[in-house]
Amino acid sequence: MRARDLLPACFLLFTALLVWPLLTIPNRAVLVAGVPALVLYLFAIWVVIVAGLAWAARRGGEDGP
Amino acid sequence: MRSTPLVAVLLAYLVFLFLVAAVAERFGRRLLAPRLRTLTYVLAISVYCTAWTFYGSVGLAANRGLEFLTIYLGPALIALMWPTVLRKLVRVAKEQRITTISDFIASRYGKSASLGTLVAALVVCGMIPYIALQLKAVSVTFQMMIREHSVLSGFDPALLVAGTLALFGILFGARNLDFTRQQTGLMTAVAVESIVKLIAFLLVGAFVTWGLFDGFTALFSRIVEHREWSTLITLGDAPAASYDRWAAMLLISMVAVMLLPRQFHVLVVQNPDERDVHTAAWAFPLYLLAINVFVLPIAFAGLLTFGSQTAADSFILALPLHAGAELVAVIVFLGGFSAATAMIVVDSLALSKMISNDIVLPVILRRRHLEVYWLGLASTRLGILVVVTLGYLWAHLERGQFLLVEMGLLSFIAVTQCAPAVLLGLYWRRGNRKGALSGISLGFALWFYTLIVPALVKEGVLPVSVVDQGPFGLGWLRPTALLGLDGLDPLSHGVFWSLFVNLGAYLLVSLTTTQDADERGQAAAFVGGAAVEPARTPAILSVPEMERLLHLYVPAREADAILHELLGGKAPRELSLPDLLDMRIRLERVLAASLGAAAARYIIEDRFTISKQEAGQLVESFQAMQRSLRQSEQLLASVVESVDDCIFTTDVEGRLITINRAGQRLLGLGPSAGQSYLVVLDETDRRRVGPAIQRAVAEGRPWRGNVTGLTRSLQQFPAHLGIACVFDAQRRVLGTVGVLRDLTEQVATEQRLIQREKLASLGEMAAGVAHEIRNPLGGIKMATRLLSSAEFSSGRIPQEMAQSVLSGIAEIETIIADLLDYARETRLDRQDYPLSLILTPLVTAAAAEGQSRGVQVAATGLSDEIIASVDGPRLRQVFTNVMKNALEATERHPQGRVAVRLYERQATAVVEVADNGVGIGPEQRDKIFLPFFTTKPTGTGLGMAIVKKIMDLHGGEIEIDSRPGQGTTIRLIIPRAALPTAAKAG
Repeated sequence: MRARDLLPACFLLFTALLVWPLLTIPNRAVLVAGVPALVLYLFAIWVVIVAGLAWAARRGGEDGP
Repeated sequence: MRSTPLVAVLLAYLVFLFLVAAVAERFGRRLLAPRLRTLTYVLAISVYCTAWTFYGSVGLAANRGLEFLTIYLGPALIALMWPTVLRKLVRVAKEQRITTISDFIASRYGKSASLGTLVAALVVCGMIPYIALQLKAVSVTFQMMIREHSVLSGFDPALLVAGTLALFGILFGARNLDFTRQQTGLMTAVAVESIVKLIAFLLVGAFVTWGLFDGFTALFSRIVEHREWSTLITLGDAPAASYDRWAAMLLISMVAVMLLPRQFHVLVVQNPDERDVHTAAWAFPLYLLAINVFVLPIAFAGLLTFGSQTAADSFILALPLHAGAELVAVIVFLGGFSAATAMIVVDSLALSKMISNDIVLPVILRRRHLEVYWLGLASTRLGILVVVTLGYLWAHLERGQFLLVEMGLLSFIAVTQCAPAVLLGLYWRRGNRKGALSGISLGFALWFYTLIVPALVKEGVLPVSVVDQGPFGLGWLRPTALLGLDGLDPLSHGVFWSLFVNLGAYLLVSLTTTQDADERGQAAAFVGGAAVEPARTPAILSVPEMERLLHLYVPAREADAILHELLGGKAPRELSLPDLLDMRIRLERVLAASLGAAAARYIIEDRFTISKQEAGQLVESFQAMQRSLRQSEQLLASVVESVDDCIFTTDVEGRLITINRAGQRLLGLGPSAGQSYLVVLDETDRRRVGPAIQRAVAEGRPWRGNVTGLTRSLQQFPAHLGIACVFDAQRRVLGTVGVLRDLTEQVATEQRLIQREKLASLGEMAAGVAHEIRNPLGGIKMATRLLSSAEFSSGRIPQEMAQSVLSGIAEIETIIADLLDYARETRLDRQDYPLSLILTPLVTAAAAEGQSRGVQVAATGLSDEIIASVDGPRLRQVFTNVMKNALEATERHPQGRVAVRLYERQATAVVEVADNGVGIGPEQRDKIFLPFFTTKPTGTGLGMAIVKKIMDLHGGEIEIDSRPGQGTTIRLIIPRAALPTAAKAG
């Protein structure tokens, strides 16, 4: 299965992680490692998305267009 | 900071931008390696981050916490779909030469001009405040930089900036009308600006976080502990965004990042390669991540430093200024400036294209102006000026300051109204024009009602009662709680209603109405999959027609290049109908790249506008033509089929294409054998005449001659073959038509005739011989009877009788000798003789004999120089016989004359013997050469037969001119040379 075919599923997954109700889980007024929990959560997801897409682009490059 | 150096920095930066663009435009296409080109593309997409991002994000963060992140998280999320959705969007846009979002929608829904105009007008209205926002940011930050006490404190750089950017857009964006071409200069400048704003943001972020404070942790800890601002790090509690507002903003930013006019322009229209979408999908979210890392720290640092949220929009600039770090402040100012300028340039360009193609051009075309290209270019360039000017004016309205800030988001929502028509249009074939029209109109209407109306109320343009009690006191029509829906915040309420109604109308109307042929074709082209059958045949343009069109709408130099490209290296004559059709479609796309899909369609279709009546007449005359063609074809076919000769056609290589039925019967071949026409000839003739035929065909000449035909069962037959070439209008040989006539019966008839003639002459000869021999036999018979009777017993009479018998026998012997002489196979013993040598003694003898008969014999021209290769003794016999006949013909004449003449005629020697004797009648002239034919009482009748035979052996001819009672002239024409070499020697 091509990495690119996973992306729509990832889109749904990450969208779910970024809206109510799942978003309520990290939504707390606490600092984790000196950073607000929600900020850390959002940036972590962001990094995962970038990394995943970079990986897919590399794989896609090998698979051809 | 003093204002003069700041103005200098600002001007220097603008000059720098022009230089970057100019250098990239001039050399970029050669210098940019694919990797660098991809990087430029990714950075150019980051035009998404405007002054609104640069200043507004910090302001929003300081006021409402994490809400600002949705504007960048949305794009990061939708980037997961880019490899599928955006890539398809890019591919379709490239195929269809789409230049703007309104062009895309117009093109998808049947190249509809009305839909394009609607979308263009709405999007332009939605975007002008956004541009105003950028100019306002430049003005405000400039004033902050120079402070109040400067001489230039009244100076507003916005006008200067607006003018300069309009010029920039005209120079590097609207160089020509074809926006699908790579605008390398513009893209590079925008990319450089993206680097400038990112560096500026990271620099000031690091400076604030670590220079003014002790890092992230210190900042965040102080905010968490703050009683008022601790809510800024969570969601759900005011002033932070609610979950529904959060979700609504995620949604609109997902769409806006692709469909905002500037985003569509750099992301889709200026995409250098479809595959770059994959790189952009991760690199662009990474850029957004980087530019957002320091937003919260700067916002919190601002709050902690200034203790108030009121001027939060300018925290990023105020902090370094407050700390006295002027250099950092200048860099921040430049960063914000670059963010604003990049946005203004690209947005005004994209909007001007919409204005030109979807609003101005339809009017120009309807009025049938011919200078469409230049009017289009002028309106695009003017459009840039108009857009920038409107933005500037909006920024300087006394009112509208609240609206200005809100407009960033409201513009996003406005452009989101295009999303159902664009995105569903890519995947759902049934989506149609009526659906798109109703969806977009209703969506925009609700956008205006639920979002703009409340904003206008806040501005004081409309009374507060409209929001509080509803218009005209109708509570269920309240703009922020439509139909009583009041659980949502105003923004998510507006997003919900506008998109819900938009999508609903699009789906419902599309499902309940039908598409016309144009829409079906375009839907298939955009959605892909199985091609639909075109409902009507697209008109085909001739190449000169296309050339004329191109010259009408594109500058001459480019028109020729485009035509060349369209032809794809083929000559106009080589193009088949499908080629022409394909060319027409591509021509339409080329025009679409400059003028938009709807205008291109209008232009091409307009060339064919004919009235119904004209169409009817055309069809009628075409049908009549077809009928008469069919009739003449049938007539011709029946002629070809009815003849008995073999008629065949071949291609230019000589391969048989068709053979008529007679030919198939004759040769035993199938209807079209596909083999060389040489198969109709036998082996020897193929070698003998084959090359000659091929030569003739190559030279376009006909060929005819007698050949030996060959049937498939290898039977030979005599035949006559005629081959003629068939030419096209340019006199090029297309093939040949051959007629092969079977001569078997004709040859057989000829042979039978010859046989019969032979038999007839043999019979006559036999009769002549019998007749000749019967006379002497009669004498012999009588003498023998007398000898046997008793009365003749004395010695004298029997002796006479014996003499008579002997003379009879001698006569018979003469006849037999002559006959043998005639019948014997004769061989000539040829030598070069002077003919006079033979003639002179004969003339002398004839003269002597003529004297005794009273006939005068004269000879002329007996020259020794007339030499011929002849058998002397036999020729002497010829002359003797002829002269003897002449003497006998004239002997009764009172003044009989025989004239002998020798002369040359070309390569022959002529002996002419003329007399004035009795002459020969025409009925006898044909018979005088037959053996035993004679008109004289004496002679065997073999004389002239022998003359004929010897002359034939010499290859000579005999001419006879004769009139009964006036005389006869006989010319014996003797070839002087027996062989060609001898002729040369002589």
